[in-house]
Amino acid sequence: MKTIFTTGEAAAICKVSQQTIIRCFDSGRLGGFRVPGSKFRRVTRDGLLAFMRENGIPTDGLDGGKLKILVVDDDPDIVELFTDVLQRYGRFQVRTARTGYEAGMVTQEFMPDVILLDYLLPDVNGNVVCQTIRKNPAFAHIKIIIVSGVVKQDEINRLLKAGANEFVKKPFNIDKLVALIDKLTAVE
Amino acid sequence: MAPPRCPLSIIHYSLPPLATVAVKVLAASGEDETAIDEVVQAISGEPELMARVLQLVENPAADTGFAAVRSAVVAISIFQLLGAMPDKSGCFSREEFWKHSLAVGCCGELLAEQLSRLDAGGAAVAAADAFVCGLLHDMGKIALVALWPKSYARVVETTDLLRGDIADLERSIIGVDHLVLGKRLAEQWNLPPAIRECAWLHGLFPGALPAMAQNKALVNLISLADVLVRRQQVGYSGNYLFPVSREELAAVVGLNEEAVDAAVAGLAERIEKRRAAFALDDTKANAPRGQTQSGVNALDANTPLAVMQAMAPTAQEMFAGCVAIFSLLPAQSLAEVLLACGSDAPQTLLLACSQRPALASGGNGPVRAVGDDLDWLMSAIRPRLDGEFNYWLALETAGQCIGGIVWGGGAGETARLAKQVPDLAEVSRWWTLALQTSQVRQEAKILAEQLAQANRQLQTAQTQAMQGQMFNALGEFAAGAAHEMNNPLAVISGRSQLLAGQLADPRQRTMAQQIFEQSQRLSDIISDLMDYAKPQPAQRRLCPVGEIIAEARRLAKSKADPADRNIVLELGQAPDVMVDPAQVSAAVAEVLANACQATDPAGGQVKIQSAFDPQARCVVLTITDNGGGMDPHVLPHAFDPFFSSRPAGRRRGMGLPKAQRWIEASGGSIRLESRPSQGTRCVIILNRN
Repeated sequence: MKTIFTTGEAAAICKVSQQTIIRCFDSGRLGGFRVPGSKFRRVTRDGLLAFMRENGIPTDGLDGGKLKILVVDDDPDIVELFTDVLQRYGRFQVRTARTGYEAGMVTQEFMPDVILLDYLLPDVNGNVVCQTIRKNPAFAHIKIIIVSGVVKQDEINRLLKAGANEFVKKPFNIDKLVALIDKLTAVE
Repeated sequence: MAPPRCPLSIIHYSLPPLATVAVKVLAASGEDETAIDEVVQAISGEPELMARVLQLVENPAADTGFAAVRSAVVAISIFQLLGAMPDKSGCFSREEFWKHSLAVGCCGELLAEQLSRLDAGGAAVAAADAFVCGLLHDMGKIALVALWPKSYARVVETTDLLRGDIADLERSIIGVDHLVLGKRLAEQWNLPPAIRECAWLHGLFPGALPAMAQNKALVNLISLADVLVRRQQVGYSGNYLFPVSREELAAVVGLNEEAVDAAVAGLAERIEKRRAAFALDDTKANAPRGQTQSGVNALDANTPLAVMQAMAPTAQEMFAGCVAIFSLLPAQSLAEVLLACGSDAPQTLLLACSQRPALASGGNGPVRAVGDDLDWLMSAIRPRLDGEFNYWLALETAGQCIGGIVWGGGAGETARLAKQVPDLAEVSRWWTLALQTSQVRQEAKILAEQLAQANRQLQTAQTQAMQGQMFNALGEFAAGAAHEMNNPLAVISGRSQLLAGQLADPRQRTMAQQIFEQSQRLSDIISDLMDYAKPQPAQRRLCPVGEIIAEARRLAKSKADPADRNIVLELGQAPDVMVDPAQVSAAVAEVLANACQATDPAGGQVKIQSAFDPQARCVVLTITDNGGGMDPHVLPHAFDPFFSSRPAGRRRGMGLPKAQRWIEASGGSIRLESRPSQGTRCVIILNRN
């Protein structure tokens, strides 16, 4: 989880110009510090959050440390289950997709930290989604967890090779799944 | 030892002929009064035979009396004949074999009686016929033991080890099986077709019997009797595989379950009654008397040898006192040779023919000087022929030489015979025709035998293919079903976890937890099903047997109750085996876990033995326990998935089926032997390649 931002990054998150950020920084309305020995400005997470709240800027792009999870599954009951489970913990922000295509679109827009990906989707298989996401360097930091009822060792190996980080079997244990998400996103 | 190329011809030259009485009896028909009288006289001349016959036939004077007497005489004569044949193999218990044969005969008789009692309207089978056919159905085995004792010892050992079909092993080790041999014996001794067909075709699926078989009802009856007797485990006959089920056979024969049970119930008593007639204890003391002493057995008039025998006198008249006649079967490289010298009894020889003689060319008449292409023959017979030079008359048809007549003579032989060319040509045409016809018959016989053999193999292959197909279909079905089931299961599992976390009331919380646990159980069952239906492919490599056993013990101890079960190890020298070590260890662990569960913690003993069988070139692992053993109703289902004789919920019943899959995937085999209160023995066979 990022705790330090450049003025450019802060501007992108707030969807304002970099100049605006610099002015706010300089006038003390935006918390941060200068890199010692240089004139470069750095904005802290807390400072940014406070700034955004004060000014009514939607904190989607930077939401109080909540991890962003994208759940991809064509079964609505499963999707609802994941959403309920994750939201119950209070520190996850969840979006959903029902097809491989939709998953790609939402990933672009939402920039999740973790994708929970069902292997069997209506349009493509999970491993194709995996490969496509991995092709884009902008998504390199996204953790992909494949969730599936089918558990064959050679298939699992193929998935891991296609770019998945982990594999979880359905039905799953909630605590274990959340622990896994935390573990994967802890090293940052 | 490679199987002999034409072993069947050897029988003809090596086996004793039938006793005179039996020959007479077989030749006589039931209607001819004078023939019957002769037969009765012949039998009366042998008081001992008579006594035994009377023990078998209650009422010789009845309507069916003659047929019964005939069957009895045949049975006793052949029994004695076979009993007098040597057995140097040391591996085959003659006594056990006859116990089994006698039991099948009695069972056949009882089944036939049940059939006529039910008056089922289907084909009736005479009880006396059933008895003889049952008694002699496996006679081929005696001949095999007599002719090839060492090879047969190997067959018996390997069958014992691998528990396979003894006929397959006989064919692969010796070259011929006891079924075909039994048929040939029946032909050689001119036994009624019923006996021949039973010896040859018993054990086939009723639907697979050839159309030309005339005694199908009898063959099926004997097959049923065979299966029933083996179930009763009377005596030992060496076979372990039974492809056709008792129910199927009973239905085809026309007997209901009651009738079959009634027959089986009367078996022990009937065997006792009949034993006396066969004096199983002192077979050797009763050598048959009055055997025909001719060097050539009473021949079926249709064989090439018979034709040659008929040709001999004329040939001798035409050419020389001493002639040799040979017949070459088109498909084989062996020649049958008849040597007739003067008025001595003709001698028969079997020779390997390295080269088929060339066709006659040129118009010098049919008689030619013997050339190099008959060296294979001349080297054997030249000393016997008179005269300085050798000549021969070829019998040719369809561009091939199928035989010929060879004799010795003086220098001007061809000139001398030139005058008789038209007559010679005529005679040789007739001879050729006769010989060819008999050869065609011979080939048809061989072909029929090969077909029957192929039929049997097809039967086994079809069963295996069907099972294989079933497995694949099951695998696809299971994979699809499992996937469908996992999603709803995930919802149940997840929601119940959430509920368990939210509910305040501890009772309700417990209920939610139960839902969660049960969904886990379901998930495990689905995984097991998937594993079984589409198992992981085996990754085979060479590994030491000791390691596999050690790993298996470790796994079993962690799985079954870890009490200090006394596991005894007897590990012999065994080479490495080519298997997937993880899977095979897991398989052995399943068996061990079962064994531990079956035995009582205090006094129970589980033993693991390993040994190398150099004959079959495989490693044999045996796991024995002295626990409660398995019911005969349970044993056949031991490898069925989800089958468990224990109360539901204790173990899922997948242990043995998984073990079987794993072991077979590594190229091995597994089987179970068990008797109630005598413990269980599990034999696992692993290969080196």
